[in-house]
Amino acid sequence: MKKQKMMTMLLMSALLAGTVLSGCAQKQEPANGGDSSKNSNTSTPAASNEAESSEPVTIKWVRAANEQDPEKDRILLELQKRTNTKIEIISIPNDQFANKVSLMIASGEDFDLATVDAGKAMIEWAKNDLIYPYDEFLESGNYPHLKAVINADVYKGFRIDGKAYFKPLGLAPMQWGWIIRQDWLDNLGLKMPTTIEEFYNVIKAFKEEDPDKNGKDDTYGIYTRASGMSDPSISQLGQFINRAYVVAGRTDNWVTMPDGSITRFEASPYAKESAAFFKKLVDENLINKDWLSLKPDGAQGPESDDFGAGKYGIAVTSKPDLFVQKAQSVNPDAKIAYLPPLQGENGTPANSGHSGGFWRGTVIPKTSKNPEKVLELIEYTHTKEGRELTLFGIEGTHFTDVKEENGNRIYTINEEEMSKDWDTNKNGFLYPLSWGAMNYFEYGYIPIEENNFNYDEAFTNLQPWITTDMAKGSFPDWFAINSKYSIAPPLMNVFDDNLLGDQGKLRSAYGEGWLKAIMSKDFDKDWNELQQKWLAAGGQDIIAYGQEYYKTHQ
Amino acid sequence: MKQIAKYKYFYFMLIPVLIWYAIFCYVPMYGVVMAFQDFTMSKGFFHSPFVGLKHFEALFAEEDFWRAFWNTIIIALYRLVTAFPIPIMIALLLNEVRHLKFRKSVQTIIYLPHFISWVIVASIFITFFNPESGLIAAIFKDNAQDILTNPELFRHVLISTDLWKEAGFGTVIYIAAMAGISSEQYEAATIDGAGRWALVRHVTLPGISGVILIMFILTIGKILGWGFDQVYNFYNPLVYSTGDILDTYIFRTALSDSKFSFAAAAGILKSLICVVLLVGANRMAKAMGREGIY
Amino acid sequence: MSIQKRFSMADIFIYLMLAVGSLLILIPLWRILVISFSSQEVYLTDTYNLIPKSFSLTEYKRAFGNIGGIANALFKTVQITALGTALSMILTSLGAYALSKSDLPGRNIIFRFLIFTMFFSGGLVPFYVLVRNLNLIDTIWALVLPTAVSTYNLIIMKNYFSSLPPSLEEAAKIDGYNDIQILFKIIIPISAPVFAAVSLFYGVALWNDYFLATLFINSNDRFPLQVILRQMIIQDMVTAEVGISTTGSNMEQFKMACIVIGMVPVLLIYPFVQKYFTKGIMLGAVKE
Repeated sequence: MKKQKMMTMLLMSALLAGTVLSGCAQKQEPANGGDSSKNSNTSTPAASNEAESSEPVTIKWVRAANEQDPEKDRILLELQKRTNTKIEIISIPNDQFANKVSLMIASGEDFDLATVDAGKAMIEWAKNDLIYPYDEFLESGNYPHLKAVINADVYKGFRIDGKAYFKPLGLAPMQWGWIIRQDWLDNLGLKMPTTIEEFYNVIKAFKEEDPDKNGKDDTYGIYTRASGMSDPSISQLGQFINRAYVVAGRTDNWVTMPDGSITRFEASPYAKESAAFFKKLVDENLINKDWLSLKPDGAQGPESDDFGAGKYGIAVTSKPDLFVQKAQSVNPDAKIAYLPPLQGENGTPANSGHSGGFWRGTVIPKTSKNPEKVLELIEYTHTKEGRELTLFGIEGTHFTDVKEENGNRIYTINEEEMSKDWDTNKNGFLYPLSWGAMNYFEYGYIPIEENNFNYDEAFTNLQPWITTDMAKGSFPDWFAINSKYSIAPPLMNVFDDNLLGDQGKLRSAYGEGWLKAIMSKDFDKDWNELQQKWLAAGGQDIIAYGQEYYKTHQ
Repeated sequence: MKQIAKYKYFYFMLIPVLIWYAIFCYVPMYGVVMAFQDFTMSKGFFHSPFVGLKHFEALFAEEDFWRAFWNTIIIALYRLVTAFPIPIMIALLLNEVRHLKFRKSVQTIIYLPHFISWVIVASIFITFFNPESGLIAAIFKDNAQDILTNPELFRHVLISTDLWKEAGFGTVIYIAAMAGISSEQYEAATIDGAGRWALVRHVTLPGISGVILIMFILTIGKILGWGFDQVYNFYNPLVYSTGDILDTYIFRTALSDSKFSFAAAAGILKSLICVVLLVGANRMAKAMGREGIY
Repeated sequence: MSIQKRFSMADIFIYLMLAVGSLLILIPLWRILVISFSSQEVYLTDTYNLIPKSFSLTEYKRAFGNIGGIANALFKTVQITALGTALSMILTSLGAYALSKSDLPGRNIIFRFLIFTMFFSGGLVPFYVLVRNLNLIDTIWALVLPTAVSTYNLIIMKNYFSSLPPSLEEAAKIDGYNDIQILFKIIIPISAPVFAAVSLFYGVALWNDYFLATLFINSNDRFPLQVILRQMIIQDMVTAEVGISTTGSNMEQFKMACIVIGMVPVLLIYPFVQKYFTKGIMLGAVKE
């Protein structure tokens, strides 16, 4: 009996060993693949010269939440024709994106282009030679737009060991803006708020003085939602309030103190003042009661529903037309206006959020067989012609007429043709590749060439590209005003492990403490507790390191 | 040798499944070393430096880890006493229904929510519980509270929504088991004069007791792995004190920063506890004279 | 079994409990249905959306007209579910039957070898590398092979088999059947309920899966239904925390329509499975 047991065990372990070994043998593959691509690194520029022939070059492009089909979508077909490429899209749903890109790069899967988040993973790829630095390619002078972006002042912190591995997607300083029910203001005889005090008074009046004059107490002042965020203080409302107290105020940012030194926002007195203001809104029930159980999402569904239904009067959005449309479907007389950033407490204008000027960025993995061609493609999308194609489509088909007016470029679009190529219900009349692909931000163009390839200057002079419908209201000024008031905080875009610290832990500690203080009966006590916990969780070390870094680098 | 020859057909049957386990479960097992390394994706398993128990020590040093740890255990136990027996009761009730149409309709309805993912279930209930416009608001008017931000209620919210979504589907296995009880047993008992309750006690329950026991042991074995999707979609910082479980804690503080090793260490810890629980439950079953799962 | 016609107190209690329970489950589902068919104006002004006051197919037209195609994804999902369930059932039932023989030499070791995997795994990275090295990426096999056997289901089946009376097999042996013949001719026919239940577990898991698909499928036109629906429903949530907008406006109504679309096929298929859960009792009743 024992012998037989031994036999079966032997048999099994042989079987197991066999498969493990074969697994290991296969494992070698990616390592070898990685090596060979490293070796071929030096020879690729030569190889790409041969590719000048008429044969389209295949580009495998990894993208989040793609819905476009490069074989059917007329705009993508046109882009491929103009750049002599054959684009294949590897599509990953948003919520699995970071995971899968990491797996793909780490396992040496071959593709040519990925649009990824800047962060620790990206730094690691760079340090381990898994992605190409851009610098050598840019020397040729063939890619002036890319060169301008990558060498821009605002992105200089991105360099990893002195090289640029990441081409940020230029992001308008602020996509989001605030809208307000102008007819409610009129009903109550109120003026557009300009300071945080007036802002508070309007919210309170919207809640308590029956702004829609329907005789019912069925409105509240302002909407926000913050569930699922490990740090609810960075909701749009939270940031809006923060910034009335200090430039660039939000979690993870550095702020300048009156004496010129810097510290982290979380540890600054401004954070406390702003939290106290937020607490007032919560205590007086001026916010929707469910703000903590609703998850924020880019789609802005529930908030536009409630705004449309006239339940509240001040909203933050990146899709003003959606809110206007819903409000007017319920009440045709609804008037909606843009609410500009407030005056700060200390007299300076409260800035709007500075994203660092980028969202995701493009990286080119070492497995790419034709990096020069990839650069050509990205370069093209940054030209005026390329931008127009990826924003509004093909002239004569998707849009028929273009005119320049008051600094805006206004497109007469053909809605029917557009909905043949993409879901216009969801994306609006803006081609989905206009965001998060090569460029980022909606309804705008960064005039790099027009500003002599000075990206920083181009960035402050960006031109709204809008549809005829949008040109009617006051919304075209949106970007212009927002970009005027947007100020980059100190140490923005500096990617240094010691400066970032244990981000997840810090953010979670701050978020929990902040919320506790907001909901607490003893604000001061809970705020002090939060400070202690945050500093102990690594905040203290970061501040010390950051102040030192600032002294030596500024 | 004779024994093996006698069972040769059974070994043939086993070969495919064993090969599958070897390839898909044991080949990737080398990943476990990650918990003892400072793992980075690009260095991989073969070049990341070993750091011993560093990540375990870091875990134990976190105050919030312990909070999450105890929450996980408490919520798991709460689920064990609710989510485990309730499907059995529903199955027993269904078994008593003689109108086939009614019975089939109920079965179909209660099993539907299983097909809705937690993201959606959460958003459905959040609108229902919405103190501004949901049913809660309709009932309590201005006194409506957001029950999703109340730490004292949060665990109940988890359990009741879990029941809503999964209790119906949980009955499937018991209904299948009851279908396997031969009707002769019922007849014999009825002839002996057994009433309805007696039939349940002496025929139905014993008939499915094997399955109940197996399900109990299996449930205990995966008890700590429960609920990430659910908690993640329902919770907010106000209810961390009662609702933050190990998986959400790790997700929030480690995975967003790609601290893979830290997360892996927590995973191993969880597995170890589960193994202890499972082995314990199995021993207990055997001590009671029943067959365990192995 | 004599069927009692009269309704006792117990009956009233049972029916009431089940009816109330079903109602509790039905109300939220009903609300989803109502919202998905409402026109926008009605949806915006009606607080509870429990009574249908308008009828509009806008959201459904949008879902089906979507570039990418729900119909294609649905077809893919059916394929995956059918292939996967068949594969899983073959592997699992063979393994479970063999392991149900308690005197099989080596059984205990083998069984522990399987149970170990319920708790310990190498994690995502080696798993991905394995599937990639087997060249399964972007094929249907990547969705059915890696999860083909669930130890949990295997244990359930094994236990069912070991609860069968040994006399059945002994009789078959005398008739000259070998063990494989016994499995197919004797055991499987009398195991309909457990086969139905376990196939349902596998089928449902395959039907609901989106994780493997997002990990291993690269092409849009090979995505199963769940990935497409999920993409429609939640794609915007992740980026929201960064504080920027993403594509567009997936409205609540559209979400609801997507949920309904995902559930209808399930509603249609379940009755076929359900049949096997009542079979044992029906058979008994016929014998009578």
